[in-house]
Amino acid sequence: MSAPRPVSNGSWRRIRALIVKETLQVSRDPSSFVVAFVLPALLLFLFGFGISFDATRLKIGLVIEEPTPTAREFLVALANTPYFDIQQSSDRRAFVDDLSAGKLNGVVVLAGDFTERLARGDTAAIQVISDGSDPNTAALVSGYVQGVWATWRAQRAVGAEAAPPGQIEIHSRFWFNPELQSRRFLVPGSISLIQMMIGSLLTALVVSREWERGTMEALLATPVRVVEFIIGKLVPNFVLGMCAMGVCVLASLFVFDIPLRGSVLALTLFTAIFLIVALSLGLLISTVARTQFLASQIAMLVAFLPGLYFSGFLFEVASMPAPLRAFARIVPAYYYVPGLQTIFLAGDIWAVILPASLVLFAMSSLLFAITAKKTRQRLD
Amino acid sequence: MIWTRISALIVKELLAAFRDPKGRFALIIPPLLQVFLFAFAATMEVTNVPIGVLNQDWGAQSQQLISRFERASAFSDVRRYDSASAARAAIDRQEVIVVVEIGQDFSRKIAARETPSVLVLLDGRKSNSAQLVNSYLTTIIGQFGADSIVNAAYAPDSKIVERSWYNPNRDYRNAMVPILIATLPMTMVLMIVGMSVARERELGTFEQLLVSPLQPIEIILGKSVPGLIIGLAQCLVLTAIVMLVFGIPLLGSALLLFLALTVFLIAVIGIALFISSLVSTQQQAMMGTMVVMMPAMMLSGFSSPVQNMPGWLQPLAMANPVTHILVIVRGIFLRDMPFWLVAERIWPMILVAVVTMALAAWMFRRKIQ
Repeated sequence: MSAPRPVSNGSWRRIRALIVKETLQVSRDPSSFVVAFVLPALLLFLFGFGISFDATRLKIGLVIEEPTPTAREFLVALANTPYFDIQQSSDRRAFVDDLSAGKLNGVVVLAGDFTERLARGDTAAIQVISDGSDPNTAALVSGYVQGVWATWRAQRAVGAEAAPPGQIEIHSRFWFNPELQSRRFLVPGSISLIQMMIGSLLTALVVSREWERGTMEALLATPVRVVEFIIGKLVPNFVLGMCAMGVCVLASLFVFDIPLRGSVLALTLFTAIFLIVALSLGLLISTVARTQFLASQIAMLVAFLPGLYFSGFLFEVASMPAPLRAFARIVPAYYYVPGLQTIFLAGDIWAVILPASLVLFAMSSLLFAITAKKTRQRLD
Repeated sequence: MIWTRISALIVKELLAAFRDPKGRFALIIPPLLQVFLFAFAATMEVTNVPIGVLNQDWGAQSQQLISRFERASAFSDVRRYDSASAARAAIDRQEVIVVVEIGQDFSRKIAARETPSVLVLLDGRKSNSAQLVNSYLTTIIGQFGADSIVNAAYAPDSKIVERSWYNPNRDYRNAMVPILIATLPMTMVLMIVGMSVARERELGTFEQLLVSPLQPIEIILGKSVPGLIIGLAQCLVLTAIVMLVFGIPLLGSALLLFLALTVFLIAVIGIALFISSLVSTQQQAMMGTMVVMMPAMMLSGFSSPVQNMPGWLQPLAMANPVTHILVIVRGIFLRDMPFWLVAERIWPMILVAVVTMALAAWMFRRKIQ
């Protein structure tokens, strides 16, 4: 209290001291190491290898009740596609238990009168039974069998030298992901979960820990101001989050073979904005909840689960009921994930990235202001 | 004598879980919230998405095709674009997930009984939804082709008759919501049992338990039974919600379902006890729970089928109790799974329970000495 110091210089010194203290605390706590490195690596690994919506080979049972050349042609048509692992039988009862046990995804039945009806000119039925308890796989089974059937019919028409029925040719092109690997959109999506975890879960613990352990009183007694306190808490976790992001990007590029078509600069800036939102949210939770257990529970409910459900990387937001669609618009990951997928798979499309950045920036300003206000109230 | 001791411990644990209002809140509200969130938010169906059309054809046929798109329930509206660049920019900006390009000779070729073609451009950034949209479009266009070109001149020689067993409308909710009966109590039981030992450790009361006449096996039982009671109570409430609120009927035997759930929860408790035998603070217990729970959920067929996983991950999925209980719950709810098929899935869970309990008991005993 001797000589009055220049204010700006003092403020900078206090922030720096706080950052040093927080950095030491983070680096010496083994559980923050788990949150920052073990969980991200695990999540990335799980989303990269464990989850796949690309059904490689569907297990189906083919029932041919009356073996005829025509039925064998159909079998060959099925076997010639890369979609199916086929077991064959002449009795449909052989497959009922396997379908019920989930060992088969579907059963295709060519009835005994199949060839006979075809020859007579009647409509011959190909029965496709799929396991509806897994609706996605069931839809794939029926879709692929229909595709095989259409090809088979066209071949028969040509073979019979009848006038080929004019069908409409459909050429489908999947942009940005022509091989249709679900990993390519799941991994960028999971990066957002990792950021949310470091930003919110880890940060939620830091202020509540000061309260729980009683060290908050000591901090309140120092000349540190609210904004300085908040910056001191944010900077180390921000650095941690950006490092984890670097690890994630390297793993995406070199382990999971995901292209980065946009620029590193766009990726870094966009991630930085999202991370600040996540950190502000974590800090707000931390200020409200005064125990670590409660803070982590709230962080799971408020930050992690909405990020999982409403970011559009697992579930289609457009298909949800209207109130949930409206709710999705206040979830930060709803803006971050499409932008991230765009930067990775499509390139720097500013029409996607800029509006998303603006919304995220507005969110972080709002959260920061609320946090500052809440913290000040506690100081009184 | 042994029963008095164990029941005293059980009563103490239940009181600890329920006495404080925050604790009661944490036991009741999050699972309920998640059931409803999950039932309405977790859909992989594609409905209500906008699609784009670039129509360069002036004839009537292309208009008829577009009006079929407009009538399809999967699409919310059909946006028309004038140029290829505008259509492509719309995909880039994620305004639409797909643009259907109809060439200028579309109507002419149909009139001439030639083969017209249609280009479908999809946004692969969401390849899962894009694949579904593609299959809807293929069906609509194929049907249109069959009606307008083939018509009466060409009698269909064969047809596909489609059935989905166990869930005739392939309703996503029917398949997904019953699973919550197992997964939500699992989360809760992992937390309760994992944290309760860690809390005793952190507060130093675990030492007191150790010097009491309780044997290690009795301590383990006393910590396990309250978790089992709370978990089974949640299973019961969730089953009621699934059946009464969501109207999903239970086709199989309720007795068999709860037998399987009990074995599952015992396996989960074994895992939780093993975690808590390794850690010394609540925070570490929570991190340990997360590290176990996320892979357990994701490598189980919960979000994508086990058969899609690479071969080297599948043994891991088979050692995961969640994989088995998911098959059982879906099976008993949707298709009255017979007892011997359920039994095939129960014994791996018993194995997990025995191994983890034994490891936990061994760890506790080692720490005492």
